[in-house]
Amino acid sequence: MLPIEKVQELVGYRFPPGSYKIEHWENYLLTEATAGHHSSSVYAHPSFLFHAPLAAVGLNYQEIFDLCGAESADAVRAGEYDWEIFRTLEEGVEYQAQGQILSVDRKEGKQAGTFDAVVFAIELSDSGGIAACATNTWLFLRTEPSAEETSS
Amino acid sequence: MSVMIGDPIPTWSHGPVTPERMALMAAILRDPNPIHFEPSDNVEAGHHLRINQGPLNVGYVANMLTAWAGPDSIKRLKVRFVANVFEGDHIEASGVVTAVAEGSEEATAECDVRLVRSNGDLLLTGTAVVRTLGITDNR
Repeated sequence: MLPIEKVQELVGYRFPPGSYKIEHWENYLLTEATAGHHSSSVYAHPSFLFHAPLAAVGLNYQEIFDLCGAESADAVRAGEYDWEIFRTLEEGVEYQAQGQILSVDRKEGKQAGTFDAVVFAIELSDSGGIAACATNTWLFLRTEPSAEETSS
Repeated sequence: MSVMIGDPIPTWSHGPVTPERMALMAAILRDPNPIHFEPSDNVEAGHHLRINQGPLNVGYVANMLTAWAGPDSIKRLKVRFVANVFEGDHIEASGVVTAVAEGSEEATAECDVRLVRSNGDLLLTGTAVVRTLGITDNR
C-alpha cells in the first residue's frame, strides 16, 4: 500500500493551466448519455462540470490515476462533487482552467476498506471572470499488503 | 410561480440504465475504468454488472433540476455518492425546497436532492441552489 505520507505530498499540487471549449456534438452526446432533454439553447449539460475542468487542465483519467497512485483503474470511486456555477457553461466558449489538489485523507470504509479521499478544485473562467468551480473528491481504494509482502 | 419551503420538485425517472449509455459516457470522458463498460466480477452486487459513472448519477439529479427550473437554473449542486447504480437499474431523482431567497436581481431556492433505486436504495444525496425564475409548474 502506498504510504499516506507519499500520497499527502500531492496536497498543493497545481494542475497545469489550460483551456477547454465544449463543442455542440459532445454536449449533445453527453446529454444523451444522461437520458436528458436536448435543449435548443447553447447551455452545456451540468455534468460538464465534471468533464470540462479535467479536460481543460489537460489530464486524462489515466494520468490522474497515475498521479494519485491508483492501484488499478477499477480501484477508483466517486466520493463527492461540489459544483458552484456562477454562469452556466455554454457551448463554443473557451474556458481557461486552473486548479489544485486541496487535501488527501486516508480513511476506512465498511465495504471499501482502506481508501484515500483526494479532493481537488478546478476553476473555469471566461472573459467575465470565474464562471464555475468544481470541487470533486475521488476515492482511491488501497489494498492491504499480503503477509508475504509484509514479511519480505 | 412562487416557490415555497416544503414544495416537492417534480421527480425525474429513468430506466433501465443501459450499458450503451455507460459506454457512450466512457467514450466522451475518455474514462478507461473497465467497471463502466466491461462485465466483471463485482463482489458488492454479487453478479457481473457494469457500474454507472458518477457524473451520470449526478446528471440524473441535474436533469430533474433543469426540467423543473430551466437549463441555466443551477447555481450550486453538491452531492455525496452513497451506493453504485448498476446496469438494469431503474432510478428516480427527487427533491424538496428547504429555503427560498428573494434578491433584487434573482430569486433562488435551496433544495435537498436525492437519487434512489426502484427498490428504495439510497444512491446519492445532496443539496442544490437553483434560480426559480424559470419555474412554471411546481405541483
